[in-house]
Amino acid sequence: MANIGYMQIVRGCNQYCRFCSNPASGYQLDVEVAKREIDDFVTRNYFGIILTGGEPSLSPIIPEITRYAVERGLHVRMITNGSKLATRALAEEYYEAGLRHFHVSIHSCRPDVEDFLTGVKGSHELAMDALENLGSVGATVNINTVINKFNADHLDENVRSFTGRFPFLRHFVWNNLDPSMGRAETNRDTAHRLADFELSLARAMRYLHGTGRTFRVERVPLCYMTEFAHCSTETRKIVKEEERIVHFLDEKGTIRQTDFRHPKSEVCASCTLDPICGGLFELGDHYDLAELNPVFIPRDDIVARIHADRS
Amino acid sequence: MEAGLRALRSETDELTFVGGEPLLVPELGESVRLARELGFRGIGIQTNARLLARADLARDLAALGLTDVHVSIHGSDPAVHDYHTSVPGSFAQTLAGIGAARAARLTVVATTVLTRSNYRSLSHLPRLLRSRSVAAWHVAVPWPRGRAFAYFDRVVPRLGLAMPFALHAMSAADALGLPAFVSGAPACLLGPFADRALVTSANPARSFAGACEACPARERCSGVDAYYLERFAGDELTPRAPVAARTLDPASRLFVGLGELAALPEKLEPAHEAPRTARLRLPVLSRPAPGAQEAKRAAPKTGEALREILPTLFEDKPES
Repeated sequence: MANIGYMQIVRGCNQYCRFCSNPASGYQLDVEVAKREIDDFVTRNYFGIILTGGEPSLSPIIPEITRYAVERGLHVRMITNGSKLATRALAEEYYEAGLRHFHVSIHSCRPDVEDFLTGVKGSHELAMDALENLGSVGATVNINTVINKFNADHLDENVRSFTGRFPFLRHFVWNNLDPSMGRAETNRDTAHRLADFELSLARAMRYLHGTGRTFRVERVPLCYMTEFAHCSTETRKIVKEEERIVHFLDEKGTIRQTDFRHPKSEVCASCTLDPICGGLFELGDHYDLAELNPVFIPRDDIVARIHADRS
Repeated sequence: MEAGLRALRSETDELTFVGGEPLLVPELGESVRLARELGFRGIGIQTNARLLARADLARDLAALGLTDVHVSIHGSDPAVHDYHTSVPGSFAQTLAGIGAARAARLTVVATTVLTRSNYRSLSHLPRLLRSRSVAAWHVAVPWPRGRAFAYFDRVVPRLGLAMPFALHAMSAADALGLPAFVSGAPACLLGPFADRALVTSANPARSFAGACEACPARERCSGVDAYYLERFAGDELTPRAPVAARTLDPASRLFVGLGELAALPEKLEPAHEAPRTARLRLPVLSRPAPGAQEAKRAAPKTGEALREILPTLFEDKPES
């Protein structure tokens, strides 16, 4: 089992994303507490940590805690909007400290849509500069995208655009909008129906699969994953019996998640994939029970693919 | 009934009883007999066939003049079919009904409504149908009316995803010598099967996207349903080469459609805006509102404040 823990470094940001699920809380991690979190993950035999936020690159402690974690055998990643990494010197500093794997959050290849979603004009251009810098220093770079109303129909256009400009991108992550918290809860115009993204997500996954790239999809039920059920984050966690610890910088504090099955619809009971499907986060609150449907395809093939996949 | 049949007879010599479920009507036998007496040459029923195997019903209807049975079957195994009908055991009853109809020397054709829940396993159906001596098969894209409208997202598949599976299944039918047809899908999603598209009596007004304006195949294309187009803004539709005229297998004439469809409600609910349409509002949308728990700018909370929200990190290391 390759568990990876999440450390929120700071809950402030230099962007103002319309759907941010972890907006400002005022808290900021210091070196002492960060080291306690790292020590805890080491004790639990975690494979690595993901530095997240807010925007973690706003914190001055990144190089120091990265070195501390790497010395203890942890793999270190960062989820970032990339704006600070548009300055090459910072990309080099992080790389030298041992932070060599980045998930850059970009939600649209269309500059006007990206800038609208992040609330900062020019953020698309900064993210492109960050990709350029991270690629040139030799870092591993993934793209994280939150699926929302305004990009739901061009997820395939995104991956073609990003991989066309930056061929070193090998892995993509999609997170379906979490409407239960943060700004998505108060800005309902970002909310979509699952059918809005199904076709473009399928086209994106097929394109990436066809070019030998990999991807993960979180908070999307398997009836919307077409032939890529084995790439569902929740399904992989269920099948591999993995856990996930997140140290939130808010009143939630430390959450150890071992159950990745979210609520489902009544009709899911007849679905052959029900035992390995995560269902739909916040089903019935924002998303609609009637959006889910059973499918009748063999489950064993999916489980076997997950066990055979070492990535 | 008799006046209606006489009026129809002046226009055609083929007749199909549709429903609901015609086998639930006690007077069906008498209607079949009357139709035969009036000179109808072909007399069929659209049915789920569940009752046909009971008490020699198929044989009796055949004796009265019934010629063909149009069966609805939605999957190749009980789990898939019974989910669609919401009746446990209906798959076995329908197969028994098909068997009884064939034993009574009735022509049997089958229609499968293409749904989100069956399209990925559709290619198993032709072999089952062929083994039951079914004469022809029709894959029908659902019309979003009635329950299919109320449960649109659960039932109606994205055509761009489902049609390749449907065409693969039709290809499997071809290989088995089972004539296969399709309805309700635009020509640009039918590939080499575009000349198998049926225009049935149930086809309501069709809609086309902007990309269809200059499509060479438009004349012979049935477009897409208006509500489907509103939901997805036509992002699957593309111009294609013209569709050649083709004489369809005679069995295709048995697929007459659904009869009169339920009307769409005046106000379309669930109303939903396609992403493409939503983006038109970008220039006028204001800065997003903060989250319910979102903090305003203040001095960073760190040190002791972190201990309060992350107490478990300190449990084994009390301060000296």
